[in-house]
Amino acid sequence: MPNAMNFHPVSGVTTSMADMVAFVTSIQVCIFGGNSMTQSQITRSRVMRRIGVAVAATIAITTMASTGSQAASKPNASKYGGEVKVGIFDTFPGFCVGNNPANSSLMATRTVYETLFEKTRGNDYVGLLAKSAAASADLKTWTVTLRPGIKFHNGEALDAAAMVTNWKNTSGTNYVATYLTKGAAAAGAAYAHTLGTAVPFQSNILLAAVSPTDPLAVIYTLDRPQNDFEGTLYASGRGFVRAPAQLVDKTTCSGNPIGTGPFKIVSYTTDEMIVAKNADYWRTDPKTGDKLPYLDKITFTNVKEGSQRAAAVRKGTVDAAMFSGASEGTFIQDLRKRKSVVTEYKSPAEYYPSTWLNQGKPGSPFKNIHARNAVLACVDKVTWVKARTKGEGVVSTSLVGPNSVMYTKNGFQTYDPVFAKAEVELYKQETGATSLTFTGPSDVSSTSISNAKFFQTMMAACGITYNFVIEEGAVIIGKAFNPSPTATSYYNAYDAISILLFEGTDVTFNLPFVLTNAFAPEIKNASGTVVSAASKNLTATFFRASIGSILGLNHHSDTNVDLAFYAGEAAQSAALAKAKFQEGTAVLQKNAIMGATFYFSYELFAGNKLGGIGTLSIEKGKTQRLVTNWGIDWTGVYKK
Amino acid sequence: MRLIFKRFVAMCTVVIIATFLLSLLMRLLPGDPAAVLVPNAPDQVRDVIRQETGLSKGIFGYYWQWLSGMLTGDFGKYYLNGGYRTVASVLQRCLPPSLYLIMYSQIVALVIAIPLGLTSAYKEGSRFDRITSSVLFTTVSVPAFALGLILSLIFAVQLGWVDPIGYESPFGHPWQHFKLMILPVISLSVGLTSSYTRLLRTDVIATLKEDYVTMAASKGISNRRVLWKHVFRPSSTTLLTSAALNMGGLIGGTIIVETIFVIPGIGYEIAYSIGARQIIAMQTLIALVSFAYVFFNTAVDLLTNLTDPRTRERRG
Repeated sequence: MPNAMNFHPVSGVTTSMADMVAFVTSIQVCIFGGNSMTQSQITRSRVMRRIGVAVAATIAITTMASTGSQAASKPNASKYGGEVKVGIFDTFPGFCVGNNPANSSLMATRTVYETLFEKTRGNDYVGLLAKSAAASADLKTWTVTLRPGIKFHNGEALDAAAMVTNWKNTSGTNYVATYLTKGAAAAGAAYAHTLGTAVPFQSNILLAAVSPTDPLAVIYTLDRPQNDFEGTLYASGRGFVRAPAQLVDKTTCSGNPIGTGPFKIVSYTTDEMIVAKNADYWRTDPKTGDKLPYLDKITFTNVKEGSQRAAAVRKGTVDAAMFSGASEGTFIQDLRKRKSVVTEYKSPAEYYPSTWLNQGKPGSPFKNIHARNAVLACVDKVTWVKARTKGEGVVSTSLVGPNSVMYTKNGFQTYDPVFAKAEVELYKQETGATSLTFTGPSDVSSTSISNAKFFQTMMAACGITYNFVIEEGAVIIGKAFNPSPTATSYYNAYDAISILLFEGTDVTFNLPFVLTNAFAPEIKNASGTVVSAASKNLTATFFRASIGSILGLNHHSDTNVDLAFYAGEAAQSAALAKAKFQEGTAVLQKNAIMGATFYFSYELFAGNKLGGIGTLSIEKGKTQRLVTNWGIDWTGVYKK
Repeated sequence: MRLIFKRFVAMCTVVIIATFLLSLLMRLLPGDPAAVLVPNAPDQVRDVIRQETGLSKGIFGYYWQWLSGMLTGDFGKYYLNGGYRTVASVLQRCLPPSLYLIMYSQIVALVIAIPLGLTSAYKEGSRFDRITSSVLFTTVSVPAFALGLILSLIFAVQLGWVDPIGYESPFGHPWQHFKLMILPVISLSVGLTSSYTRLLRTDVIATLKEDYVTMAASKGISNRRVLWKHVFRPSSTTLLTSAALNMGGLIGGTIIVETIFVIPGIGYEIAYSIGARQIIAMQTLIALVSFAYVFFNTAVDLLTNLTDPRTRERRG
């Protein structure tokens, strides 16, 4: 239906001219309506008509002159000012350590916060808040030096001490230290708000300290050697640097974001975030020397209904809108045709939803490799991409896409229903089960329910029974990543779950999800010799037995995965690192620990009145990624 | 006065029973309510929430704490990791848009339904009546969300007359407020118009057959005067009751329309509370909807007593 719509795109100038003419015409029609006029009315009408024409001409000349002058000289001053509205598809959960804004709301949050490093289009890292990073020869000590003169929105200076406060409050270090000295209640009361998913991501950091010689240098001491430590600090765009004042106030931490970013928070609700220009922002455009940012204000609004988001960007109600290629192919494809109205900005297909098969849950069939093989071989990836993503997805050939350093086809299970059926029989023979049956969740959205039904039908074709339960997204997340399991509630409550956790081109962000324990455990070989020591980190020791495997939804125990990825991170050459990372992926694939069906992109459609999208570089030749799951960077965007 | 007191006592009783049952339902949801509120928080945080909300005090203790809070203006909190937001502050923000939406929808529906219902009844069996009935049957079967999306496609995208999403206060931007409310109001009022017209038509047809109407007509009073003065007033009881009950029902019924048109109203907040399993906020918001139902029901009961002498007589 949307394809059949008759839409009349007009440029900014013609719109204003058309509006103006219509406006003047409407005045004339209104004044001169009716056929039977008296002589005085006719005389008055002539006068009024002349006035109308004069007004129209004046407005037209003024408009043309102003438009022309802008087009001719284009001084940088013309880039400044203006307000922008952006349609997104996620809610705002808050801004403290435990609040994880997803995708499009992450885009809004990133206007307030910045990260130490950013990823470039060449897939390397460039310092943003950090000026440089240097590793010791053994890759176990990293010195990160901050750029001078950067201040948080509240006036606090960004220095190494602030970074140490950030680390202590996001890695669980403060919590554990208080727990061990003053007990659980004191730790909970003072630091519970600092516990979040950032904890396992920083499990390799033993200590962060201010350099004795440079107040802008932070020295990170690691437990294991790591060649990609910038990635840990970047955390796929989520490694926010928060003002110490925000982190230490447990009552306002979630509602009072204080960062160093180009915009400051004005207000936020669950579905809307308004930010205003940070007049003291530290960056300038390296090409032009312009002080950034250009825009005065941005309003990010959650428009849940995809068709309305598309309508809003077409109509110009919002200046830009973001879409997910996994589920909003219809709207993406419709907007893509309207090049005179909107411009498409598309991320690479670097988002890899996975099928996580839970080996740890009592009653789950997936402890048995034949059950895992059967399910993964039964997924018809080509049909899925056609039917469920409207062709916007890319059929998986590995757990991650070709752009990822982890990518390998080795051991990846392709669609093979004959093999799947045979594996079902082997599963039954080995376990004595009468059927291969498993459960998983679907959230309440119609897209998810349709996906679950589609998956159910595919499984049925191989003789596998898939039962899905429909639950709210927040409940599913709570049950899948359950930090306080009881006798009746396991860490991951589902036999299997399809969820997007893998992303990007490197390993650091994906790693905690596939290790047997994010807090490095002691690993022995078959003869009982210790091949990898347990982490000496106090926080790691504390958390290893509780939330160590919370992110690993597979709950597998194959330590070959850990060893391969550890070896990759310890490698001294990029080639060796890549080989080891691929080895890790191959172990996951060969042992059918998890599967993948498709990769997809995120898209941002912007009205043609927006300029500067993706053109701002951090340093000369170092431009950050155009679009990611967190949309675009708004620092260099201006209104034409 | 006695009647008002009796109605007030009855209203309070119904509200207490309804909210207690609601509270009970919330407690019967599977899982630990504190864990549902903050799924990824440690036990220490959950303990604080249990104490603060009364979840640790059993069903009656919890209900009493919640009710006491409501009566003293403490409507509870949305719990986040690292902070909270009060339901009162959310209500302050989201109640006005919903009330405008409901009020406008009711006004539009009544303004259309009353003359349409009266005319259809007066011309019962005529071509006008048949066409009106057919159109009303058709429109009442179109869900508000489907109508909303269709209207958005035509008037916002194709014609470009209004914006498809958004909300503005009537005090700051009255014209923009008007433009943004048109589509959601039409989406909601079409169904209401159909049901009001049909209700009124049925009652008017019955009233037209009363002897006193024949008497009034035989006295030579104009048809218009008979219809409006002698027929409409006694026939409007059902319409009035239905409209009043809809005032309460619409607060909950706006969920989808508010979501589609991105109006930050109470329906939108209820949807969020359900999605995020913010059960304290959910309980408060749903309790307010229940209260609105009971309040408007009582109000219309009292109003009917005032406007229709027969009701008083029946009550003795």
